[in-house]
Amino acid sequence: MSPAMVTAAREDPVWIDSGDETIFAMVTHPRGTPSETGVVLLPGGSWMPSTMRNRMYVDLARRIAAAGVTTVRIDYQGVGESTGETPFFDLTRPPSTDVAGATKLLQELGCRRIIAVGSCFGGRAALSVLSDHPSLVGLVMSASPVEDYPGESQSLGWHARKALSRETLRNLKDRYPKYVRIIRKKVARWLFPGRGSNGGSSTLSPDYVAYLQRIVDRGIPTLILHGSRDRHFLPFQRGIESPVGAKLMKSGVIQVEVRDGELHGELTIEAQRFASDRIERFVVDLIGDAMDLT
Amino acid sequence: MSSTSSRLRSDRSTRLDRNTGVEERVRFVGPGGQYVFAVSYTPLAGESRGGVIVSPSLLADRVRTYRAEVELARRLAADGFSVVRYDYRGFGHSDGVTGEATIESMVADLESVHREILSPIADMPLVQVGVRFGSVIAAAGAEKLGGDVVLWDPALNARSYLRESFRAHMIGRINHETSAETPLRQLEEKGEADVLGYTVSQQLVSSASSAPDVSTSVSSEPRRVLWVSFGDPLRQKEIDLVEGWRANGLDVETEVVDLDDLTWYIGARPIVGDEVVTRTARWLEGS
Repeated sequence: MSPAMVTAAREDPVWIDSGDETIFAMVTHPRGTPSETGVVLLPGGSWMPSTMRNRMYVDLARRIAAAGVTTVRIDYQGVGESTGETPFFDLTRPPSTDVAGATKLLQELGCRRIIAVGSCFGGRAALSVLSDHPSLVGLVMSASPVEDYPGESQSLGWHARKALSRETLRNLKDRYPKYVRIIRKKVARWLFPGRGSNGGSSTLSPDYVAYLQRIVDRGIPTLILHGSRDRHFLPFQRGIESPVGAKLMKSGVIQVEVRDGELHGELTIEAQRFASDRIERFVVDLIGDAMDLT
Repeated sequence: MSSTSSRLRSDRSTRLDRNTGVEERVRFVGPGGQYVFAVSYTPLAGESRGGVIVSPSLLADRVRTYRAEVELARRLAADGFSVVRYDYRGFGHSDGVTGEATIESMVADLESVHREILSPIADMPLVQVGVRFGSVIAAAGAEKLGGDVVLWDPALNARSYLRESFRAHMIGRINHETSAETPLRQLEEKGEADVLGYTVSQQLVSSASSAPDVSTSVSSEPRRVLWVSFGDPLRQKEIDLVEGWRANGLDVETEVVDLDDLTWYIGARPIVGDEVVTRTARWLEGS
């Protein structure tokens, strides 16, 4: 723990209603006069609790609180302390009520401005659920996929081969609804190529492009972090070189930082430090900008 | 947590499950600056049948067992037990520095959770549940506080658990970028190692080397023991241990639950706890 961190003495555990379930949230209150900006920390999708690997989000929340900013971290439904069934994470079905519940809690605590931070699935959840949220002033997506499912930009033949693989067949029972959605989407795109256009990018999903376009149109500062060896990085890199991707990047609101090596899953302490340091700096810079404006 | 109670209504840290009649309260216990995160599950109707403390596992395999711990606590509370789960200082939501945690500090956390949450409720029979690494702490807790013991796929001692985590780290390097140096080399050079993205300190390793084995802690007085193995039948060494306990007058039951024993595998689903939870609950209900 760095000396600049606050401790659990400034934390409040809170239960939040989320649809039919109750999710767990931890509020970290800032030292001194709180800023009117709050941060929501969204974990990744591998059944990762709100602490994240090596309690990266606990330390990050306490660091950000030391800088005067309230944070809320949550366990998704069916994960950690929250109620509900253990989920299969699907980028096309973000945990909308969980994310909305966390942002509502920040607003109840007096935060008029919200910065959303998400790792992998959490970043995409923040993008899709909060892109139209009136209080959103900043977004961080760390190692988040740009395709809605692995291999989205691959051919139908590739998917047919994948469908008959041992792993797919073994998981068929559990993942059946997800596979059905993938097949429907792929066939629809094959039959009606113009529908759900991604603006000419072969690797960015149409949803990713649409939500990011809204963020860009609203001029919301966005930080995208990737690892050069992450499986999501190549599709991202190709995507931002496409006409639509280049246009989004040209807007000037998106900042990209790439770590040499892996970032996805924050599987090393070095990767965790990379992400935490950049997120903290991004938040502190945004708070500074907000103070300048007021 | 009086210092923070003014910021939010205190009832927001408590939820009532109307279907089961269980009150679930999240709180911090222990001295300020050294808070231990704890969740208590209290049946609201009737007298409590007993107290249960669940000591969690550590590092990467905690993610796989976390949910089963929560499901066990909810099920047992619905059956009339008062249950507490907690995070060791330096881990999870608790205070403290990961690098400063030791086996002794973890046992002290268990004791403070017992003192502040279970003791005030009533003088009641106690059960210590240890999940994988947590078996070492639960067994030490049983030695100090008494009670029956449930061991979920136990590490027989902290040393062997840490060795297993180092091996898992080296295997994990096949598919993922992990620290280039072996954990042992990192411990030697930096005083802490990156094990599949989790901090393991020399302090923890040193305290593990002198910590008592589960076999020693559990055998200190007559008690009931349930040993639940995930996936594999008990190995000869474990069978010998169980036989030794029985010879000492302990009432020991063993169960093997069919699970994919890929505890350390990154990205693996949480263990499906239904069967583990059901068998544990049935055993406890018989107590």
